[in-house]
Amino acid sequence: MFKREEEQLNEFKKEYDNIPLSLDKLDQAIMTGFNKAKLEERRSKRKKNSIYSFIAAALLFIGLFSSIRISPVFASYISEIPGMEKIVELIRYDKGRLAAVENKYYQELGVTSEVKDGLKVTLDGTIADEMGIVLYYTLHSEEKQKSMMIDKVKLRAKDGTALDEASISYGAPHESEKGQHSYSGEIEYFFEVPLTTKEYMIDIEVSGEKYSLPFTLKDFKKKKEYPINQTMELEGQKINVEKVIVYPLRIAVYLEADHKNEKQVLNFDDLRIVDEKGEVWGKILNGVTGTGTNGKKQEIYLQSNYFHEPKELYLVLNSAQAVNKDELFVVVDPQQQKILKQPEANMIRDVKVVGNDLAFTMKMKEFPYGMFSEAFGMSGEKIEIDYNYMTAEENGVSIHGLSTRKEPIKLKLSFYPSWIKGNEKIRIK
Amino acid sequence: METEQLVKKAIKGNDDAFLQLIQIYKVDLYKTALSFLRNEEEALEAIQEVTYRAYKGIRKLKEASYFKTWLIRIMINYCNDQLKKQKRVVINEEVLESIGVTENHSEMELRDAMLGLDERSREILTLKYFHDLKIKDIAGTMQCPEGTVKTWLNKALKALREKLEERGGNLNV
Repeated sequence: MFKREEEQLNEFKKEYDNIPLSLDKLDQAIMTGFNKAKLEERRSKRKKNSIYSFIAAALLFIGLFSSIRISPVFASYISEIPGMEKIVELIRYDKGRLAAVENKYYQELGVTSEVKDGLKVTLDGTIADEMGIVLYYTLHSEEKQKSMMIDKVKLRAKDGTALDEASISYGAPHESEKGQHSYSGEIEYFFEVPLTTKEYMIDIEVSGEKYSLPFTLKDFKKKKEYPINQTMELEGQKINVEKVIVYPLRIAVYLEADHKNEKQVLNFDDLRIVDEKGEVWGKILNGVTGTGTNGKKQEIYLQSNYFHEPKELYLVLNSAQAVNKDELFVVVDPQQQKILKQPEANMIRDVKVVGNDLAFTMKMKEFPYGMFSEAFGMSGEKIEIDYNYMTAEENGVSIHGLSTRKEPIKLKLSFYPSWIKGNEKIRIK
Repeated sequence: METEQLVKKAIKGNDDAFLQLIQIYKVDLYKTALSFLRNEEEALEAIQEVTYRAYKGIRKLKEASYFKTWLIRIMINYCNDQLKKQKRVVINEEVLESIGVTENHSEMELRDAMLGLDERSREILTLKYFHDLKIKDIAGTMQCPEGTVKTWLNKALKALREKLEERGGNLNV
């Protein structure tokens, strides 16, 4: 029907077949466009990471999606409480909290704020013990929202008792491309000293409005304390374990690396509790994983086995990140984009300077840890670290004012991919 | 098949796979840009912008086999946006001359006729004849039935005929 037009169109196409083109220029254009997209991607990832870094020092986020075994009893219990599914979704990567729900230690609150500017907040429920309060909340909006987040929280005891907070976390921004009317999340408080009162008020700030919600906690279940005073040893490096305390929300392992060690232990990667049947309670996967300073007294937190009554209980460790004590710093020349010094394992492949960021590529696929805790100039003056960030390819750190620095800088390691191994097992019970 | 593997990787966020794909189709993209826009410089800018848009959007690509159509469509959309902007710019004589010199008559004629069409017709004709894409793929990326694409294609060809006849007629006077 349109034979002539089709022929003409084919002719038209052929004329472009022999068009002169510069492949160099084409490739250049491709790379410019690609780099622009990467830069934006990095920026948006960083935005998220910088929010995390305000939450607490030792947060470790692993997108682990473990399946949970739900017993028929548990399943029917969940279906009895309205809105329980979303809470199970939030705690599915923490065995201890799931067990708390299963053992009816989860306390329903159902406190809802007044509506301000089309928005209200509900406290759905809580799991609490003498050292911590975890609140589950839902933000409701009359209009669909693509993104919502809590800007600030403030917890107060109604009787005015001062609260000595050790860590506060209230999660990442909630995002949904389609937009949603409600988002659920958790607020976690842990304290330095045991709580003495039960009545609280929490102020939650969302989109510039403040919502105040009262709640009263039930009686706490008492902690179980196991004195240990034994030593673990990985490749000659000694770790003294003082005690283990099991709370409903988490297990705290009190330990300290021996001062005579040649290596500085950076992270106890697979520290865990195992019972006589081989069931394992590992590290906290989404939340505060520990407190204290490497080389000094530390508390490492594990998922709680409080609601499980084992005959025997062991503390097990096979692998820890460690570097020689004289290799605690990575030295980088930002001008030359070169690594001048790093631990002998030599696991950092390369460094690039992008704005204020030092973007490290590693010799391994993924290393999901923020590597550096502190930065210094060569004469020892401290330089501010804005945040660590991780993408699929890069492990980066943003240094305040890096783009104007001419001198090399020293970065103190808090994590590094070199390990000491062993097979340590201490009986707790 | 191999390309489809690359597309799948790219959707999952593999940068190397993404860049390889752009390499495969860069000449197609460039020719498309050149057929819509005025010169090399603008076409290169288009490549840059399309690479950027494609990278940002690739996670949303649902069907790996439609990658090429999807990518070319990003280019066509970009060019259409540029053309709208250009309409507000007065073309100076220099540019007119350079077009006259570098392009032969029949190309000019068809090209002008194409640029005189509505956006959808221009898009359909470019996908079908410039890139030899199948109706099925075009329908898939546009998320509409093949019948609809065929109807659009017929309308586009008819409109093109009218445009060409308009010009031909003028020349014959």
